[in-house]
This record gives sequence, structure tokens and C-alpha cells, in this order.
Amino acid sequence: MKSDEILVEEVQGGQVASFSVLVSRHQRALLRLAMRIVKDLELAEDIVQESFIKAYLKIDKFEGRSSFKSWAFQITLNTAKNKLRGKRYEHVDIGKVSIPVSAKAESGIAQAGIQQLLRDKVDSLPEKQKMALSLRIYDDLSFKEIADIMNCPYDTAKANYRHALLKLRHNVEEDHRLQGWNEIEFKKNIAVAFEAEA
Amino acid sequence: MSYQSTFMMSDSWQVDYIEGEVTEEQRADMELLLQHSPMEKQVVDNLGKLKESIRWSDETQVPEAGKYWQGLHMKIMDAVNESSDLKWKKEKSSRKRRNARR
Repeated sequence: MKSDEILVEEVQGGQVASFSVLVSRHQRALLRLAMRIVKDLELAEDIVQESFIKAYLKIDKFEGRSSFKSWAFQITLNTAKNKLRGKRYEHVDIGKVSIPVSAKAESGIAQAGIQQLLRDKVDSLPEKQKMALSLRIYDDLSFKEIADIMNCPYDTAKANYRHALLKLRHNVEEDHRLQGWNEIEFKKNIAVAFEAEA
Repeated sequence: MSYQSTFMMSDSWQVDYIEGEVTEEQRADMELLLQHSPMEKQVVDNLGKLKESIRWSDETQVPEAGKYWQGLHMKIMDAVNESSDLKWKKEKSSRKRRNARR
């Protein structure tokens, strides 16, 4: 399997087919990143498409100081942020949604509540801390990649992440609604509880 | 002492430890400490669980089907090829303009 570096060199030499491999390799991660920001699949697809076009058109200027993946993440992040600036997105407040459910699904709902609270706590972090945390935990990126994407030194990326995690720990421990959060069994998808009902 | 300065002084090593951002020597020291301090061990375990629960709380879902990704890939490459043609045409016309000026 060719490395991203080789593929980028081939694209710079005029081989569009090599760019197709890069798209195939990174489209999933970039779509997840865009989805996390705009929470809308159609818009996220447009963002990823636009980001790949930008990457392709600027690939001659890509000097390889960071990896292609970090560069593509950075482009997608900026594109998504710009889209958000132009449009406000409504988020569903799970606390206000009323669904009739049986006792079996109750634990699923309790978990959904905890998931929502945790998301709120992540959302309330300062922007750079939230970014470092998201890239590390959701996208499994290294601190080097995070530093490249955030355009900051390695130690700053790590410090942002560290502050975020410790602040979250403090906030979670202080919140009585999250008592026992560390005893729950993690289910990959809370929909499992509802599917079992159907 | 503020919460901020307290955690910076005492807890940052725990994050570095769970992230594997420590030297072998530091790791050995930390593991020794964890063996003898159930409280510290609890803190480290909870940080690991917190990480896991944050990952678990992510609501972002993308389609699983291979067909979807093939479709998206095609859509992206069509757009890339189109922009590549446009770029080529632009370069060609600016070359023409430059030559005409000469």
C-alpha cells in the first residue's frame, strides 16, 4: 500500500488517480469531523467535497511539513467553521423530548441523559480545549497531528487537551446529575435499548 | 488555592500517564506510586473511564454501508475532476492572454 506521502507526490506530478486513493482513505474520518461540527449529513458531505477540492487545487503548495491527513483535517475544520458562521443550526434538546416508553427502555433513556450531559460539558469547554479533546478522543489523533491541525506547538496541543480533561473531570464530579457515571456500562449505541423493544 | 492551580500542580502527570506521554523512568515511578496509593489509582482509573465515557457520548454517526462510501467517493471525484478541468482551462486562457500581450 502506498503511503500518503507518495500519493501526494504522484498527484503533484499530475496523477489524479492517486488523489482518488487519498479520498477513499480519508473521506470517512473527514465526514465524521464535519458531522460533529454541523450535525447535518448533507451539509457535512458538501463540506468534505469542498475540502477535497480545495486540497486538490492547492496540492502544489503542500510542502509536507505536516501529514496529508492533518492538512485535510485542517481544511475540513476551517470549511465547516465557515459554513457554520453563515448558518445557525438548531440542536434538539433531549430534555424537552417526550417519548412514551416501557420500563425496559428506561435504562437506555437514563444513559441517553448522561450522554447528553457529557456532551453539554464537552461543548461548554473553551474552544481550543474542546478542539484538542475532540481530535484526541473522537478522532484518535496523535498530539503531533493535533498540533498540526490547530497550528500550534506540540506542548500547547497537549496542554489544551490536559486542561480539557481535568476540567471535565472536575465538572462531572461536581454535577449531582452525573452521580455514578463511572459505574455505567458503555453501550456503543443507546438505540440498542430501543431496538430490543421493537 | 484556586482549582486551576491545584490541578495543574497535582494532576497533570495523571493525564500524561494515561496518554502514554511519559518516559520509561517516569512510568516506573508512577506505577510504583499507584501500587502504594489506592486513592491515586482511583483517580487514574476514573480519568481513563472519563475518556471512555466521552467517546461513548459521541452522537456522531456516519453511514456504514459500503455503497454509501462508494457513492460519496464518486461524487467527490466528479467534483475534483470538474475543478481540475476548470483550473486547466483557466491556466490555458491566462497563458493565451500573456502570449497575446507579447
